[in-house]
Amino acid sequence: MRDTIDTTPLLECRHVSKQFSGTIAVKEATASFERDAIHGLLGANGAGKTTLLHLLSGQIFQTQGDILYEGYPVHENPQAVANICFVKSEERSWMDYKVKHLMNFCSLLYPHWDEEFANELLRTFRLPLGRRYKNLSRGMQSLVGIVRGLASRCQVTLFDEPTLGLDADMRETFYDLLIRDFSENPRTIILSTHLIDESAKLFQYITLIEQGTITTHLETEQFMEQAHYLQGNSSLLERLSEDPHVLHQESLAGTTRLVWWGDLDNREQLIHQGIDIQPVPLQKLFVYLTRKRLKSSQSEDVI
Amino acid sequence: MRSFRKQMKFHWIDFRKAIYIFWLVLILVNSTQIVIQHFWPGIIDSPIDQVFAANYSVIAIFTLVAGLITATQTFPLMMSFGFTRKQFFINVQIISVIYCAGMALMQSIVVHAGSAIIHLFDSQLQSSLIPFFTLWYMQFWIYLAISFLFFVMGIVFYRFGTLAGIFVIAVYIMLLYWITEKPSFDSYFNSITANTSPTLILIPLIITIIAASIGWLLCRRAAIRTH
Repeated sequence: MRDTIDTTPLLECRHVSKQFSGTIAVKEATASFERDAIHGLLGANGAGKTTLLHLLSGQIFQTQGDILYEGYPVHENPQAVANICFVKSEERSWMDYKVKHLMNFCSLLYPHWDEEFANELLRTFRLPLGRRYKNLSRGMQSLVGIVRGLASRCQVTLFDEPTLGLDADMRETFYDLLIRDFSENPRTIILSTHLIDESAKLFQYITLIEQGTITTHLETEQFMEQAHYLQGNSSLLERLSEDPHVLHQESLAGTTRLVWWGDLDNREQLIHQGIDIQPVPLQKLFVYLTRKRLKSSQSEDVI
Repeated sequence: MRSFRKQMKFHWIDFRKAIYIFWLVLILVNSTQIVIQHFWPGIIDSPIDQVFAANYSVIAIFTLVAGLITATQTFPLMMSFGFTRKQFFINVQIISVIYCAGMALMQSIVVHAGSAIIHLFDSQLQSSLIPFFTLWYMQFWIYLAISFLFFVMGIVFYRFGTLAGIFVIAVYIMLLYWITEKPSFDSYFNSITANTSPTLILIPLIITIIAASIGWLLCRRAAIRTH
């Protein structure tokens, strides 16, 4: 354990927006990504996760706002971009290269490349070094990206859907390797994924992005503490069903279950009334929040 | 920080296979032509010293393709490894100079060595040989101009898409047509190939500077494709 922990954010985006030919992909996104932590970047399809990661890595330019690395703009900042490794779900520029050449490039161009660790990962994942990237399966392409991301030892590593195409065994292997490597070599990792339940154990912080806007950026525990399942007699719970804190409701044979988002002021009273209060799994919570917000925005459109 | 040596090594690994294959094929073709023209002179109806004339066009085409690939493939590749656009562009300039110098040197060696071999076969060259350094110098500037012109085209294709790229092709073709139609072009081209004045290289130099400047202006705000 370190005696002092540096909590100043390493990477920040401030009121960042990105527009592509009339489509707003990211809108007023603001977040500070705490250093030496694993951040989960969650959002529905088309929410803007990939665009945000491209912006954070300096690969595309924002329409407005600032993206800062240690307080300085990321774009055209040699120190920043050299310390940010962005692992995309698919690297089109790698298509015609063999895996061994890509690893060679990594060893030449990443100043802190860990050759030994990279070789260990290549053996673990059983990647064929002599095969071209375009001839690898989808899962193997993801594994090449994972090798690069982990062995680069960059201060900031961005993973965009790193587990695409991986079977359950390989996904668990990746999570275990990530945790192990992170504990030995702490750095800032931002990982976007749809497999929330599997990867929830990795995340120290959750960033939720919806329709291009960052709606939440909290410590995972703090985020999940806000949500509760309330299950009990329908006659007791139905009076709460119209409350704006309710994300979701389902009833069956006289029993109602509500998903409550926010503080539970009358927790003791509810327990006394026989209401069962349970935490909501992260993936379920994400689904309920997304649906609730979608419903709200549709209602606003109708009005 | 990445060392300069490592960056150059990266480019060498990236390009070496293509360059090896290119020269292997070209030298093989030249050698075959020399042998055929010596033993079966009626088959190829041109003087033996014209064997190497086509090489210049072939190298120019290879350079053109290299310029396009640098913009459309090497750019996103280097950006994926954490380069800034400025670093990429400086790399491009250095690599282009080294590449063009190397290609010019190889062709000059091929011409002079090939001519010496032709002499060994007791064949007579119909035209006089341009001195080695002058031949290298002329080629270097022309290849460099081509390299940067097509780098610009490649960046336009990458940044703005197919239609914009096709527009650039059309502009190049129109400019080429306009230039070659001018009466002064014939005398310029004959002078430059006959080596009557090395200062005529000023024109490819100016083209290189303009193309490089445009290339930087296009490159500095180029976004990496997200899909």
